[in-house]
Amino acid sequence: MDNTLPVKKSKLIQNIVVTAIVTTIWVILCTLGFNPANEPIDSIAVIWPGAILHGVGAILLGGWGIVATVLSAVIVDVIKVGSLHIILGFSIPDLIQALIPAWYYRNQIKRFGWGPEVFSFKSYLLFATLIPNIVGAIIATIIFHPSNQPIEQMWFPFLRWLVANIPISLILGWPLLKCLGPIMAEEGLTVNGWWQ
Amino acid sequence: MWRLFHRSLALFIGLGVVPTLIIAIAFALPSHLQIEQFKMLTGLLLIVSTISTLCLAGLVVTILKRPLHQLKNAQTKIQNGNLKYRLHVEGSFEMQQLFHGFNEMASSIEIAAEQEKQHAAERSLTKVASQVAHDIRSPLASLNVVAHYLSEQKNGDPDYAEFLHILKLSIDRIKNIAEDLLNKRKDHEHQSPTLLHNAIDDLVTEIKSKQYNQLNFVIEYHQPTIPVTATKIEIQRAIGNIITNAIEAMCNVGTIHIKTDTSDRGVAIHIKDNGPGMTPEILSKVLQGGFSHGKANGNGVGMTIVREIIEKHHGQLTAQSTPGIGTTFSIDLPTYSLPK
Repeated sequence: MDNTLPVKKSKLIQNIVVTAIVTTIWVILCTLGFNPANEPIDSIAVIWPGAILHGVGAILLGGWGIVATVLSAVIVDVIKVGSLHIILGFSIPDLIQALIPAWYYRNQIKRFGWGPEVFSFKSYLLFATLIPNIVGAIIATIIFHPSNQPIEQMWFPFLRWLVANIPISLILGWPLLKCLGPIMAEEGLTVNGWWQ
Repeated sequence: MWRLFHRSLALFIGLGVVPTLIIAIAFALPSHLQIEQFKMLTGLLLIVSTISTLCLAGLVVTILKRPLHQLKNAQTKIQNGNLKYRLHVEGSFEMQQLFHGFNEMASSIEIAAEQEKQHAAERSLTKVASQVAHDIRSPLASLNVVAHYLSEQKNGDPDYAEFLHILKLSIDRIKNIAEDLLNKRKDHEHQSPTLLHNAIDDLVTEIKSKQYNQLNFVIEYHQPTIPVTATKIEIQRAIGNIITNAIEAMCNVGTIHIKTDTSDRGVAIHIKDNGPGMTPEILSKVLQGGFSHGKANGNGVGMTIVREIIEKHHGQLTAQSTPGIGTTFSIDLPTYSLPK
């Protein structure tokens, strides 16, 4: 009779490695596709590829996805912008934009597992694209709105933020989640909870 | 019909090669053709290429894994007893072949299971029948004794003669039925192999002991020795009857040549004599059984028994004869194989 306790393999190393790989890829992509604009709210990109990671990374990797999102955004801002207040300022909306889908999908996974409910377009559109980006845009606009400018001028950067994030999240993020997500879940590369 | 390779190749070309080529073209454009504010297009193309390659990885694995899941699912269903479950043959050419093969295998398993079920039912029935037959013997013996006593007591009494006769016949009939059932069970159980050559050797020794001084036996065996399902008694009975007929036809003078060989069915036993032979018409009647030729007290029962024994073991009896030269009887029997 085998009296030894079953050994539970820790996925910590795996999660760290996956996070590191994802961060590296997204840093490279975001430094190439990123173009800081010279608008009142500085450094809002024309197109922000990091929006893909906000949704897909948070859904598949939970807390590790949030770490990858924030870390890659910080590294990109350090390389491209260099300004500390910009770097710290953007990390807050990036964190929120990853936190919302991570929270929602953790609940879905707990209820349904990695089934069709998790990979539905409706859920992705609402909780991984529209809601997080609207909230993130509001936060970013508020943070970076110069106090000497009228509030009406906040609309432009707010809309630019949405334009930079939402289309790319839908056009590239959704196919990526649909093609890669189920197979990653099957192979045990996803994170069901927040950290494991 | 799409083959797996074609699908994979199409995906790799569409999602991997094309975006890379577009990027290469964009990089190769002369600088005056590259619009300043759209330099980031190159970066976007690279992003698209990266995402498409990741999607490609997911799709390729999904294409490969889906039929494996279906196979696994089907295997589990069959393992759990649903022997009628079959896969829907679809997908690429290779997968269709795989599914088709799996379905054929499942059909074989279903047939084998049905046969085993039938055999089990038969064995069970035979067991019950033989148990009944065995238990019946004791009261039958008592009835026999009573019938015998009554017969002695009422000997000569015409009123009882018929009833006693009927009683005796009925007891004998029940006894025969019981014996028959028991014999069938033994046949079914004791299907161990018989070494053909040993059986023939013992038979020939027994025949020689009857001192046929002018009779020769020439024996030619195929090596190695061949096992058959028929019992030793049955083999000796069948071959013995043929040899006895040959000896009588030759009037105890001549040569009997016994040869064994392999055949399509399994094993062939040839018994050849140099007797007077038979015409085709007579030979055909002899083979059918119940017909005697050339023997004063013959009744054709011997060949009937030979046919019954051979047919019982799914064999075949044939013969060739030439008048004035001799006759060769050939018995084809399946070789013994282990029960499946």
